[in-house]
Amino acid sequence: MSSDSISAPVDEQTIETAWETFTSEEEVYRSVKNDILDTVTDACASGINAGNYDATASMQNVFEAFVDEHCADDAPFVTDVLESDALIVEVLERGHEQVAQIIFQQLIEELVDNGDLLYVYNRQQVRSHVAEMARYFALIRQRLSSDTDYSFSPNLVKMVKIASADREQPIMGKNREKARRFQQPLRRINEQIEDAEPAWEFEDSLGSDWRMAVSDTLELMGEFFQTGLPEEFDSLAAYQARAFENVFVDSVTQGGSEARDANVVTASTGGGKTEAFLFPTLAYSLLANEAGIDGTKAVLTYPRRDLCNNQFERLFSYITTINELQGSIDASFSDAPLTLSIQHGGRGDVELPCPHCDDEVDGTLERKDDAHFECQQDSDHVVRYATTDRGASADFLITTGDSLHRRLMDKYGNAALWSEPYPPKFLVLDEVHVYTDQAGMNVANVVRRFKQAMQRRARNQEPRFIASSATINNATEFTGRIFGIEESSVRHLSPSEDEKDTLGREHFVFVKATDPREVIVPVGDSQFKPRSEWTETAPTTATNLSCMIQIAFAFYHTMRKEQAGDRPGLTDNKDRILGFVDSIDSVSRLGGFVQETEEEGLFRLRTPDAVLGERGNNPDCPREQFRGATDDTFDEGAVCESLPPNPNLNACPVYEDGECWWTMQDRRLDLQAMEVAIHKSGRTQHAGTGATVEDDWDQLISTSALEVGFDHPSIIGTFQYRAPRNVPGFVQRKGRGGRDAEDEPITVVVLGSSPTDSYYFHHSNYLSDPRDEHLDIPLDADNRFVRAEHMTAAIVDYFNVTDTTDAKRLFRGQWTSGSGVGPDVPYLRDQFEAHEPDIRDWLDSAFEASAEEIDRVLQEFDQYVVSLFEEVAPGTDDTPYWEFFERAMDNRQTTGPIDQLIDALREEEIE
Amino acid sequence: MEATSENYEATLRSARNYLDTARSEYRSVEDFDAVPSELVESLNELDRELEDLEDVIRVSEQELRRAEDAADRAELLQSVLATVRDRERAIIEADVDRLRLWFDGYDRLTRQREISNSTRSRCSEVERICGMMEQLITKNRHEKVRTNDKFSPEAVDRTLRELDGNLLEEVDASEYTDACLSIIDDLLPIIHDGLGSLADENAEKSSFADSLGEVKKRRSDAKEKHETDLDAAVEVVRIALEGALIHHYSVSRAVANQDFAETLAELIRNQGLDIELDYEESAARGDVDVLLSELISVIRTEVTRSKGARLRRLLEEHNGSVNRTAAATEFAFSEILETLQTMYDDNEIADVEVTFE
Repeated sequence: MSSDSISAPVDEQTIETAWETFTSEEEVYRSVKNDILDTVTDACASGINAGNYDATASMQNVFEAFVDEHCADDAPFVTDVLESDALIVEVLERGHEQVAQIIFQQLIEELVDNGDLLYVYNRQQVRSHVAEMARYFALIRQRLSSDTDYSFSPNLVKMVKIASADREQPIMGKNREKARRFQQPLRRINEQIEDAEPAWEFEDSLGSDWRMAVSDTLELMGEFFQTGLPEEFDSLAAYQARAFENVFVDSVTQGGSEARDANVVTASTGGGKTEAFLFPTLAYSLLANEAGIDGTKAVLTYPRRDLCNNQFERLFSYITTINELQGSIDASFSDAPLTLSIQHGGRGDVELPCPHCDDEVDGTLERKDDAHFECQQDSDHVVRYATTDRGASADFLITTGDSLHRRLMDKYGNAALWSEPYPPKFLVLDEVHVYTDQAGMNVANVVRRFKQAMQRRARNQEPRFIASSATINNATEFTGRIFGIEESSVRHLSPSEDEKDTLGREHFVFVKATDPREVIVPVGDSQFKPRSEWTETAPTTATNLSCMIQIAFAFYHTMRKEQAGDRPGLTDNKDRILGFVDSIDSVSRLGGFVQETEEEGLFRLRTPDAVLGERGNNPDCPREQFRGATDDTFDEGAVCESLPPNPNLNACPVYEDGECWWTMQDRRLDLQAMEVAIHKSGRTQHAGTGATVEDDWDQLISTSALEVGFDHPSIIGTFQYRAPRNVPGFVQRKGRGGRDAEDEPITVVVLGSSPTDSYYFHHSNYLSDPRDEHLDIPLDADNRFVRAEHMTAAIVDYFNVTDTTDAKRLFRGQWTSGSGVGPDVPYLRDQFEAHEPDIRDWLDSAFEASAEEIDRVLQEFDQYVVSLFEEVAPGTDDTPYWEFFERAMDNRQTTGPIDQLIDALREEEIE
Repeated sequence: MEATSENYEATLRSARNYLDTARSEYRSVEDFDAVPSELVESLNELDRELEDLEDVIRVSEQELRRAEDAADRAELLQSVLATVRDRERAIIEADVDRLRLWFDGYDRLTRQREISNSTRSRCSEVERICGMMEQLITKNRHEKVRTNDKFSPEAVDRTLRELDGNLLEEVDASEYTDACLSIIDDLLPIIHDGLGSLADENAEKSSFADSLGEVKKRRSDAKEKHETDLDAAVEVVRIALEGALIHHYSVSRAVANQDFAETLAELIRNQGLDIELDYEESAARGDVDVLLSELISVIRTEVTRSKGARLRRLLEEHNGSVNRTAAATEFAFSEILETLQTMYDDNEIADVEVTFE
């Protein structure tokens, strides 16, 4: 029998067992850990936000909060850990509190080891890493070299605030009660199909066989779900299951009372929105192909080219799996079960992972010509079911709103969208919150034109619209407006509160820069003299940008980073920063300055030399003093090695003044100079040399171009310079950091002196914890000026879609038909006059515009046509001009100079 | 009426819940060697069966019935394992009660008396462990009474015997004899109650009753000799105490088995299982193995409902229509009427309505 008694000291075995038991209960472990971090963070935030940048949390308060929250009799920590099989006897012997204390202490040690927390001055108080970083920011100075005593360098920061917020994700996992197994929506669909009537296109093409075809399609989707998805993707979130069921049933059946014209999918960033709408559209396309329905099934529209490319790769992966399941991975474009195309001005640069290469050879597919992709590693590896051919009628067409506007009017769009008897079924607008202001007005009108063309091609076919966003509050109302339908016809698909997990937190640091000012700094011997005797001085300017520059590199060198393998399941480094500014000019300037400071090694002026055992980096570090008084018992290299120097025992003015970044101790992660890149005009380039860089950067600075869809797994920090233009945009930007559920991203917002910046600093909760009204997206879909432009474009759409008009002759002119040169203006005039009543109906139907508005547009178009009769160069033969123009258009590469120029101009305009 | 697929989801969910609970029941007793290996295998078999059912994407009435059948068997498995657990718990509770009664007798003896430090320390130790064992039982963590690495009922038993030896030397023989007699007096009513709860058909009832007579006789002898020959009284009372302890141990197990058998029989009865065995008779005899074997075969194959129970479910599914039930199942119209007659005679049917052409 054991001779242990209640008062016996805790042995190592008990500690180990208690810790193992605790960590094996993952949900409890996560919950306790998060609460402890929250308690510390809140205590630090409370101090910092009141101006005490040296704020800490006392261990006693943290422990008491832990006991209050987790040590009640029915708390999971008690029932699942303390009273688990492994611990209950120990707990009965020692009492709950002693075992709880053992676990608490171990957890604190782990959090300190992992860099989440640090002991400050002694082991009775802790501080969060973010709070320590905020402290460095609060005390930051404009140091440009080691020549000047730091006390003369101007402070750059007026105030700092911090905040943190929970991160939520939809619940996934086949054994989770709130998630759904793949087959569940398939069963429900099969049942609903029993009593439903087919959608017009299936009644037309399949007749009574449609139910069997639906069932076969669902079987294939079942196989795809079971075998075609990554292992960790073993179920659907409940809202994804609802989306699959609703979107698919709405699309394959005649609209009943439950059917909706549009669906809007909203979920947190990384919460699986794309799959929520992609899976049912994939299923629809498979069914349609089974029914012999050729042509494009879904047009997926994204606000940025980068996002198009990213989603093209994602869809390519799913389509490859499905084609592979059907033994058709080598099939031609016309024979493949599913096909996809991408259409935007930069599509020539699109790359895809080669599905033919094995794990050892990481091949990349590049566009061989407009028809297919070929592997760089092996030219026998060819993929024909994905294309960049603008005229290809692929099942899925990925494009931008801007390109769609052009496709509605040109021959490529005619071939891709309107050449088959059944027009596209789905129009998807992803990241729909971006479509506000002028971009929103334009897209809303493009949608109306697209709908009109769809209706013209097949009046009986019911189109289905899908919108998606992580940051929209008025989801159904906005979706109704942008698609031009009643709000009641929009279904909102989103995880309910009980279908979400709180997985961790994200942190915010708000920095208010000092007002711009000129500062005189003494140099040389003047540094050692009273101000009145300064003879050598240097003027310096402390601006808001100066603050941003110093914060940009301080952020990188002091934030908590992780390397792949540091914890279970971590496969990517978490060590990069994405910064946002709102003008291309600022991107270049900020990037250039930050790169310069890195090359000059300014961060080294703040290295904790005493801790690192180094000399000559931090000129002010009292290195000898702190390394000379170490206690061998603790195997210390410096007194300040395990804790920042205690001001009462071993005061260090350098640390106290913020000139020692004590956390900057990891030689691999913190002490290497970073590579800074900037992203502009669709290109990522080195901030110093301007050379194109691929993935070789540590900090990337961009405009809104990377605000949506830029998913880099290593980004853990984001920053925003100056006030964001709107809250949803900011939420998107900070959402680029911490793509993995376990990440704890940090967002730093550096605010300047403008009234808007001041407003956001004093209302920083609008950014860290936005209320619903901050996420309402405004849209003036009926703006008459924008609409007038699109009504004009819609006249061209009309000719492009109408079978009785030769659209090519109309716009490409007689040259192509070999009967002359230049546009066939007389033909255009004839067609315009002959079709005017139809065009009037077309505009009325598409825009529901007043007769006066339509009249005005038609008159202006008529005047334009008349103006085309004017000679290009009066009195001279204009044939050479048209010949040159025709040749330039025909001979240019797909991404020729004209396209590039137009696209670059357009992008500048958007940004 | 709910849609078939919703019924199907609900049935699978409930089957999964039963199976999860069954696993948890199993885990609580897996160290006791009390679960037949066939039951353990059936946990995995049912798991596979449910996975197969999860793969179905077109739910017919037949699939729904398969799912219901699997859910019924999962429920039965969970009930059987819960019954196994209850038996083990009853035994553990009885063992801890016995140790507590035994110790309390010695505790009363040592209180207020001069005893050695080692004896006092042993008493404290037993008191502490008995307290912990009782707390574990209060928290429904009976299994930890046996499966922890710090103490066990067997170890407490050994300590009590060592304590007994110490007390024999350290306290007055008369007081020792009185203490032993008081322990026996505490144990005997419990043993009697246990024997009373055993069915007459249970062979152990008469066997224990006979041997208990011997214990009682020695108890009387000890009382008599207490006045005349204290040494002999001590010797006899120790034998009597040992006998009472053994009977408490054995009878508590017999009672647990009898309860176990009766619960298994009740499961068969409540589930309407069509089993040829006279399960009521087996339960009365406490023949656990036979009953378990029958239930295992049901769990591992397919639940054979009684015809009445199955017909009742089918009629409910078809809104009571005999025509539709006959059309949708393998039951002939005449067979349904015949079974309905039996059910009516057994007061299972309140009324029968007839619809004319």
